[in-house]
Amino acid sequence: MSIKKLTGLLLSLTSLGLMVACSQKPASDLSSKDKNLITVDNGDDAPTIDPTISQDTTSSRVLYDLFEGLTSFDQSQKTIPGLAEKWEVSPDGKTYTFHLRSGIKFSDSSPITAEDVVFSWQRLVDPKMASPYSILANNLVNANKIIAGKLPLDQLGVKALDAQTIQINLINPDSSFLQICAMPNVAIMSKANVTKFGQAWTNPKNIVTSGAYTLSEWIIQGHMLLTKNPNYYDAKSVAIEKVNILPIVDTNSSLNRYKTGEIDITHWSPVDQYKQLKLDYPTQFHTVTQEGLSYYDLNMTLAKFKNNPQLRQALSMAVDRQAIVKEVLGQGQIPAYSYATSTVENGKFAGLDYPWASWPRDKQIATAQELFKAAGYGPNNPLKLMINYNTNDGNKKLALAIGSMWQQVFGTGIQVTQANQEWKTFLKARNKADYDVGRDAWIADYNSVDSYTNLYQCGNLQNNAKSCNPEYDKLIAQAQASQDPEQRVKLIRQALQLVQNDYAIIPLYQYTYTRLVSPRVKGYDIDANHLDHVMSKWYKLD
Amino acid sequence: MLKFAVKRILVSIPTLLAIISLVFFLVHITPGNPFDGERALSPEALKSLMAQYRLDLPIWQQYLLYLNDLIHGSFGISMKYLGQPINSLLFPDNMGGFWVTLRLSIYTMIIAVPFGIILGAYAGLHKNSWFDKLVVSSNIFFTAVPTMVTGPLFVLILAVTLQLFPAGGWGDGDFAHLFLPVLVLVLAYSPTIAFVTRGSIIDVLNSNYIRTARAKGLPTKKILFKHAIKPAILPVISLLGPMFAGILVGAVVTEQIFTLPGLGVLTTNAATNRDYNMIMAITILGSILTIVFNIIVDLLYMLLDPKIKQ
Repeated sequence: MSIKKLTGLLLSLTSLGLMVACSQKPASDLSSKDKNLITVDNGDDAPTIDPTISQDTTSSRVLYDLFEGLTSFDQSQKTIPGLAEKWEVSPDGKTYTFHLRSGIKFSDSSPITAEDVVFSWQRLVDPKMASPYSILANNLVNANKIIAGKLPLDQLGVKALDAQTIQINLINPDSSFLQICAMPNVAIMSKANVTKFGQAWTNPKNIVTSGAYTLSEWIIQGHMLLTKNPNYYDAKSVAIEKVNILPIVDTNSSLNRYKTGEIDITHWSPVDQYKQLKLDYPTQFHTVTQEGLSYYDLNMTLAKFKNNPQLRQALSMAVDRQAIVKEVLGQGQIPAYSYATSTVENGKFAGLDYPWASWPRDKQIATAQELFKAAGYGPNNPLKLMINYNTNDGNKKLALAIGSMWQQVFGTGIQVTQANQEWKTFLKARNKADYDVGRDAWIADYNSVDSYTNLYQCGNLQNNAKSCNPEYDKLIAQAQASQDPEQRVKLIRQALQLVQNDYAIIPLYQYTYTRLVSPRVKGYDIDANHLDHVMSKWYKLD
Repeated sequence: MLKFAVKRILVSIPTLLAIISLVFFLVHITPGNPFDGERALSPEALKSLMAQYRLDLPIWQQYLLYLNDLIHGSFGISMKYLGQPINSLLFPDNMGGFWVTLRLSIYTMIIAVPFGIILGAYAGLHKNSWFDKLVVSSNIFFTAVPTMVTGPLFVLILAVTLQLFPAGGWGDGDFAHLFLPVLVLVLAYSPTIAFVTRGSIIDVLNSNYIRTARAKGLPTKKILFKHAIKPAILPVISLLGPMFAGILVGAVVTEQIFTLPGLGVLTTNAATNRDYNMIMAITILGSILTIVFNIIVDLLYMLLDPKIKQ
């Protein structure tokens, strides 16, 4: 046989294989599987399962199963009683008194007491723990001084009145405080257990949990096996005995393992197969609007942006969001024309879009061109811009699209270049304001507009545009101090309208997430879950 | 021979130290901080973390303290898996990390080496036959087509479509879970072994002493097994040491395709997360393995080739 023939044979075999592979329908017969074991992909491994220092969504996914806070939430993200069965709020809205459920126990059968609650909150503000989420306690009496190491831990505004009762004192009333109490960072840990084992307390051999599950096995980058906690107060309604959590980073691998029935719920899906997946799995494939915003920062430390509001507005207006969500992304994302989403707090901040959002595209372009000219730029004085983004195919497509939109609208008056940077290098550059236009995004931690309003405050660590509008800060402070919920919403809407007109950021779109859920999984109301906070105790298996 | 081994080990210590120093300084001057994230840390929290990981000290002091840790057998604490010692991440007592990759590498070598040698030897003996051409062209094919392509292709055909094997994961390290990753690695490495064996056999068979043996009328079988195999295998052995070390630290792509909890994922995570201690540990481990396997290869050479012994 000649080499030519041989190569031909190999190539035909490969293409035959591919044809066979592509012509097959995805397998969906999962009926023979174990009803007491669910396998879910978590997208990556949790860097830590210590509630105090966790900050990733991968950690939260596991922590919501392992631990519970004073409050909890249901599938529509409504706050419900957690380890505390009830609470009272003082008339000034600054003092919360929580009553623990009677007889509740940790997974090692030891009682859960008010002392454990105080310990868990103190640990969050302990300067030695360096928790990235200590900001959750910012509104607690003395918290900031403790975080800065100026006061001892026992001065925190969280006190045990007796073994069952906890009092928490706030500086300002906070309508989202009960939601904060359900966050994994303030979930209740066993003081005795954490103190006994130190850093090794999260090891499966040592860990003691307060949630619906406990950790039986953890092979780093292999899997986490959670087992039902028989001491959980609501154990009788936890249907599935074992939860196997996999850290599959590659979306294609995840999809393949879903197709073979090895996993019941994926985390992400391959972006390039979106349309095909919608066709192949019409009932199993979900596209869910996510409580998060994608935007570009304009570096306000640069003179060209700082002193030129017209230029900032022109750049924002020239971006065709409809084309971005339809042509560039195409996964159901929602165009964004305001600094808070229309879904947050169930729509209380909807309708804040820029007035020009509804204009015809021609009018938007014409106005943007006028503003650009008025800002002093044109063919004779072209604006040079560089878009910085972290290396990722999606970010690249977006940067190229926005660059070409600006190029189209402003012609020779603008010269746009794009530069990708590796993740950590990018973060450092963005944090040091070493960029012109920078990719940015924010996913809300809980269903409160505070998640977004914080981003635009002077000196906020997440304010990557380094913008500052003292008037805005004043309105937000007033809103935070307000005890009247309606007044609060009014003030925040006013503040947002004010800061939006600064055009320091260019809101682009609201995120969506996509997920495959096997038909054998019941009880998971994914489409209402904008925050993507999930608990395995909701699931049931057919 | 023992003297030789000890000498080689002693000589490799400065090499290792040079690698450690070079990587240590390179890693620390790379832009970005292990604790940078989408949520920026407060200055107090960052300061506290930097102090916990000694990153607030002058770099030379960090370097000396790191060497001190190493001498005491510790690779330090991970900066991605906060608070977890690198030693227990790399060598966990529950069969993850290095143990996964080690098993994968051993199975691959056990199959790829005899497979490659037999194919190569047969091809060499039947130079220019259709079988020889198959070996040569498959070597070219599998060298040109990386595991990044063969891996997903096998998953698509054998796992997703035919449902013969799981599409990924380690399971209990059982046959079904290991089959596809080992197959992909065997196909990646055995053609090279076969190709080198083939070339070596052809060389040896053309040498004068084999011609002499033939002229003396020795039967082919005897020529082959008594006189040709031993010298022909030498170049193959020199290939195996670095190859084994290479699979141990270089099966990154295969491990990712099959989502195996081995060194590969730890390596890529360490690099993207600036987990300084993990990057150092994996580099040191890779260097030690390469050095050790090279010494073993040299020792085997001495056993097989009396010329080198002298």
